[in-house]
Amino acid sequence: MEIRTFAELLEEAKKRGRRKLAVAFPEEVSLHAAILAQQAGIAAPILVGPPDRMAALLQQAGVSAGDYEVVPAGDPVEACRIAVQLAHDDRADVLLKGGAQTAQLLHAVLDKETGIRASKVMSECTIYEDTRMRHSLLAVVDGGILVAPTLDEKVESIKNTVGVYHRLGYENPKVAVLAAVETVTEKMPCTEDAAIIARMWERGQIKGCVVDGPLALDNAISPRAASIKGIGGEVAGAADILIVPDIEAGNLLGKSMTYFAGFTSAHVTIGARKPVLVPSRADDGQTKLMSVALGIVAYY
Amino acid sequence: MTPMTHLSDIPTAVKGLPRKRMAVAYGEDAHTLQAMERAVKEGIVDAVVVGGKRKITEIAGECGVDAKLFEIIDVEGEMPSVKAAVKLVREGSAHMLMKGLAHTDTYMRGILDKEMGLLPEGGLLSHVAVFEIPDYPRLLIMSDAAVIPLPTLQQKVAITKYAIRVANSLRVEMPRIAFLSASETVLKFPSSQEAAILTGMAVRKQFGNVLAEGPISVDLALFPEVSDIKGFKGRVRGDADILIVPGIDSGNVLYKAIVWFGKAETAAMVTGTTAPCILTSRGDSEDSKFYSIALGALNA
Repeated sequence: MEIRTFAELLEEAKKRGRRKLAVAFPEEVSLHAAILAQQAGIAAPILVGPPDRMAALLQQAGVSAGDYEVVPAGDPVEACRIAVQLAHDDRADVLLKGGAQTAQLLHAVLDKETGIRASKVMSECTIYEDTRMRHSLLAVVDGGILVAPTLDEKVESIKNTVGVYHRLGYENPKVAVLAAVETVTEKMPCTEDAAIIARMWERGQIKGCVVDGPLALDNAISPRAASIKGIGGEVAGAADILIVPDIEAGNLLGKSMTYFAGFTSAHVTIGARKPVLVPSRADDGQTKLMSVALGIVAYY
Repeated sequence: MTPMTHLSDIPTAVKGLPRKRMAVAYGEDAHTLQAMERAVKEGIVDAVVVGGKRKITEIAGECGVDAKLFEIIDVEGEMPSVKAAVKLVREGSAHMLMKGLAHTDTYMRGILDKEMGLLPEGGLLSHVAVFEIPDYPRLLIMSDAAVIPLPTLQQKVAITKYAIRVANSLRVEMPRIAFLSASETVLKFPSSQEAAILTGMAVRKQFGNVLAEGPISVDLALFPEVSDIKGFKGRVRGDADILIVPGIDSGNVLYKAIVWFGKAETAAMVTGTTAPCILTSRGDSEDSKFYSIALGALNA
């Protein structure tokens, strides 16, 4: 069964039992996520940071300190290193960034000896709960990590995301490689990349999904727009995963979904052996909780 | 309308069309005069030969060509003859051009001349060859194996469009195009990626009514049994009408291999110009020269 709502996603996460959630140098934002996940019954948080500060934060949040393990760390860099070490040693299942910088956490994740890198490329998978058109989960990749992805990085980010969708119960997710138009033109290099990626899929170089591109956003998600433009194929009008040309497009598309369409999102960094969560201060509680749930379902 | 399958279908078709006039540039050699005589006698073209009148009459006499079959415009020297022949086409008193004893360089310079040549604004001079191969059930078009050394993607788009036009003239309404490379897998080198991009353009109908596949290796493009063995599921599988080669070096090798190993007969012309230009070489067979003239007349 395909998971089509965040309520189903949370239910699915609960079936995996409480997963150990290591938080690298918790502050209010990440602690809030950890508390929500703890209270929803999907996580057993491990707070990696200065013990006195952890105690103060827990007290301030009004939660029982007994539900939260604390592993001492003096500063954000050390907290990242220790949190990744816990993941590396299978003593933590999910990594959540706290008051450390994203670069500090990724640095520890990517460390050749002590890190937990798995894929060639790390990419951000942001999933939106489409409550308006298709009542399904729609991914935008990559609006967070890959700034100006190369062809190779785009292909790897597709593979990363397709893996997540398989875990969400989508046997053959439909991947649209987006551009401003559905035609191929040298003037817009992303249309050329999209055409190449579509051929790679035809040749079986990308498996477990259906890929088409270039597609404009409307052709990708609206059957009506696809039919007016005369674009056939399985993906047009029915895409599950939207591969955007670069971080600007991904960011604008994502924020448009959040703010104009009112869709809730969840986001997880894929490409390490364990899910890595990088919450944003602007994330609401639902996004924080669902991101933990997504990380759990995507990996366990 | 059934597609032509033999080069001899070309002169047959031309005979049903209004007679075209061919200007021969510097026709001071027996090969050219003999090829031209056959075309005139069989009702393919009318001819006007530009060059030294005395010399032309003398050579015609020596090789038994009836000088009354064609008009002679008396011009002394190679370059002036080429220029005068090109001028006849420019002015519309001839519909196509044929190279005589002139060097290819001189001939091309005459055609490419910005002020007085035959290349329209934005046009690209390219070479189209048509093969009749004993073991291949259709005429096979190849471009560009002779003029553009390292075509850019944009030039390949133009080359493809010209080749499609020639295919249409051979009554192939929906030509199957193979964008050749070394393998059907999309790899990192330019010919592979460009073939993928060009195929993407074709899929999006940017070449009109065609079926295209690429990157594709020449065996998959021409031999259905190879596609069967490899389990290749493409839009073109052993039934290509058009081969677009990666560049002149691979194209020229393939061209000559098809002629010599495949025992093919050929017709060829230069396209992209305002009128077809015939560029036979002395090594071509009598039939090949005749079919090239017919191909030019068909496209004039």
